[in-house]
Amino acid sequence: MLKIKDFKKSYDLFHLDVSFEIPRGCITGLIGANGAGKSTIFKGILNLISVDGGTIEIFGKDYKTLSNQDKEKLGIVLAESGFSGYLTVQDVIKILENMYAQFDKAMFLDYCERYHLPLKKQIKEFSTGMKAKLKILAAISHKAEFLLLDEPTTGLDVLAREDLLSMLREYMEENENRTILISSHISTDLEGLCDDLYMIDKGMVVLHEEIDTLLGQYGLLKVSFDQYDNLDKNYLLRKKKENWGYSCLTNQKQFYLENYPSYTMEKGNIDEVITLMIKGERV
Amino acid sequence: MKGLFIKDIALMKNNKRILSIIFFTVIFLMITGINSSFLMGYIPFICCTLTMGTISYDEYENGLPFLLTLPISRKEYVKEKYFLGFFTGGIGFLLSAAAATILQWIKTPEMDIFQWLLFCGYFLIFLAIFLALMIPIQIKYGSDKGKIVFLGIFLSIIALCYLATQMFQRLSFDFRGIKWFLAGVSDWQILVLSMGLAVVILGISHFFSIRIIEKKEF
Repeated sequence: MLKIKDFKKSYDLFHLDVSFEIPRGCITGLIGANGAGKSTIFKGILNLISVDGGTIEIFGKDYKTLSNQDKEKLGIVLAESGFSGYLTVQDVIKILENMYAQFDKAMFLDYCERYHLPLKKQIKEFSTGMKAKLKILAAISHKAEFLLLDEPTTGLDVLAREDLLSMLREYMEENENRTILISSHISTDLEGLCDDLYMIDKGMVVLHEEIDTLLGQYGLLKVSFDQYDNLDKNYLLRKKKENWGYSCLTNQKQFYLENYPSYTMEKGNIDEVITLMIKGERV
Repeated sequence: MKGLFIKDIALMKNNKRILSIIFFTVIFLMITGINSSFLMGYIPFICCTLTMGTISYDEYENGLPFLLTLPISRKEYVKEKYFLGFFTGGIGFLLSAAAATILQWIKTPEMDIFQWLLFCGYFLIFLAIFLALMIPIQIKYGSDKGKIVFLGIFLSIIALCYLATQMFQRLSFDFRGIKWFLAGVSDWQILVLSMGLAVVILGISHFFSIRIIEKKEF
């Protein structure tokens, strides 16, 4: 569905250089701290910035040559951009009706009712949650094959985030060939939604892993200095010095559980993996 | 492009105040019988600014990047702005021309209809040139800066014309050749030539607007 190879973009103090691939039918997450390069990747894919090098293919075509028909198959949410605040939901319906051949007005109205989105109020008067729901709704209401969602849950409370994630799950249940690329810096959003995850730091992919593997096989080993000296370090990815010893990240949790049963092993969650992958040192 | 046009018409609804000002100005000017050229010079240009307003609304809270991810190309975005400019300016022109014609006819029933059409034609040309200047400036510089840049260009053109006149006077330039040429050309021919020139200027403006939007990064 999406193939990115050696995509390079440089700003004054920031350099992006990434490669990745998203197969059809997958939900892939992009995670990383603010400024890691997630939005730049989206902007590159959507031809909103010039690219310094590399290739980007969507639906097997160069991203610059996408026709309007191809663009109809995309559903987009951008972190800091959306329909003008001076429009109403009614206006948005008319616009989408005339832009997308497959726009599903009944579904759109149904969601508006379910999430209490007023049809006649200007968008600028909406709450952050309402604006975010409208953005997602506009992206999923025309039977898009591929959703590109840049930070769709930013600034939302837990309930609003759960509503958004439900909308996405319903969208995926309708057709197994649908694909999503979603970025977030909130790991729990991605943990319950994605099939795999790319971790971005300072413009580079530092980790690519399936969520099940990440949650099942990654672990956080907490050892004293003495324990660390006696440890087989072949399966450690990162270590971080603490007051009491070392926190070590491994992707072979079972190996250490079997061979070092007295050592403290914590189940890896995405936040801890991120912290150690970014702040830890290579072993 | 239809979707974009619908969006812009919806955005223009926010300019109800301007539209009501235009309406009441026309009524006021018709009642008081003020010079019809003022009416024609005022209304269509105000209507054109409605199009510029939609560019500002598009950019409100960084909305343009999202618009460009919809199934439209950057070229179509620009094309629609020119179309909208002519649509709004055209309506303003037709309204003011109709009102001005009635005014003129009341004042001088024996008016020369051909001269009057020529007069209207020149306003249409000015309108086209106004749009040709404003749209690329607005797309490049946005709403606030755009107004300053437009004013700067407008003043520069006046200054250039003034300087050119002064220079020709100092050099004792002989304008008789031009005068003889113009004497041999009918008013209609000059109008058609001017319209041709306006079309060329619009073409250049469209070309630059597309280049500006295609180079834009977000």
